[in-house]
Amino acid sequence: MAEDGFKNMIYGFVLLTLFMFLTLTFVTQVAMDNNKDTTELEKGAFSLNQYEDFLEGVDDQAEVFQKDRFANQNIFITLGDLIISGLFRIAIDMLVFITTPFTLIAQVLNNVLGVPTLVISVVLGLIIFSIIFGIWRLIKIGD
Amino acid sequence: MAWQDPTTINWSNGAVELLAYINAVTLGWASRMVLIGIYIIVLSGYYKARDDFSGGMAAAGVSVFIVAFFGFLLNPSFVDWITLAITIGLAFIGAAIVLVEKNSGTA
Repeated sequence: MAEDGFKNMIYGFVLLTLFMFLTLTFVTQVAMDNNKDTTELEKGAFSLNQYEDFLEGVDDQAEVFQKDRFANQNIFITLGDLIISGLFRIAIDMLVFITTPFTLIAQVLNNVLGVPTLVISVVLGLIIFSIIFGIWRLIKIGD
Repeated sequence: MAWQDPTTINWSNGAVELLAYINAVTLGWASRMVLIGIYIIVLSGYYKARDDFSGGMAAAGVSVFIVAFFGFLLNPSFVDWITLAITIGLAFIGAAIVLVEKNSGTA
């Protein structure tokens, strides 16, 4: 295992998310430009609306993260909040950002392949546990 | 089930109508078998040349997606939405394996 494996893996997931959006946007745009029926694309299995809603939610959360945790408070309050109760909230926010690609993949599985929600939930649960242990390993060992 | 007679094909549209006819009389499996063949050829060729199975999956997934997308643009009855969706999924899975594996330092 090379150094910084966990960080590079997260970087890989971010790149994968960008690749997925690029591909879906390319398919939508080129199909529309060539006068193909994009009903399935816009309202069916390939609907980008829920991805956009999900990303908007992440964006809102990032703004809250920035305003509440850092911008509207001085550094001492932030540190105190961080120590007392903020650490848990920040950790949850970080986890949401990290799990974004997995959630997108889960939505693709559910929409395109029809995988049951229960199966996706179990897989996502396992992935979240793996990320928690990965963060723990990153803190303890630095890898 | 009554099959379309080949003499009813509108030949002025060339290969577009011919491909749609072939796909119709094979219940959509002509295009799927072509795509499966392309996937296997690219995967096996890449694996033999580079000895990299996950890289071959990514290359084969993207190759099949591009061919399927052109087929869809040519005539949606040749490559339908379901087939295109599966090829997009193949491209995603191949990219996921490559990005995670390569970035984990195994390469």
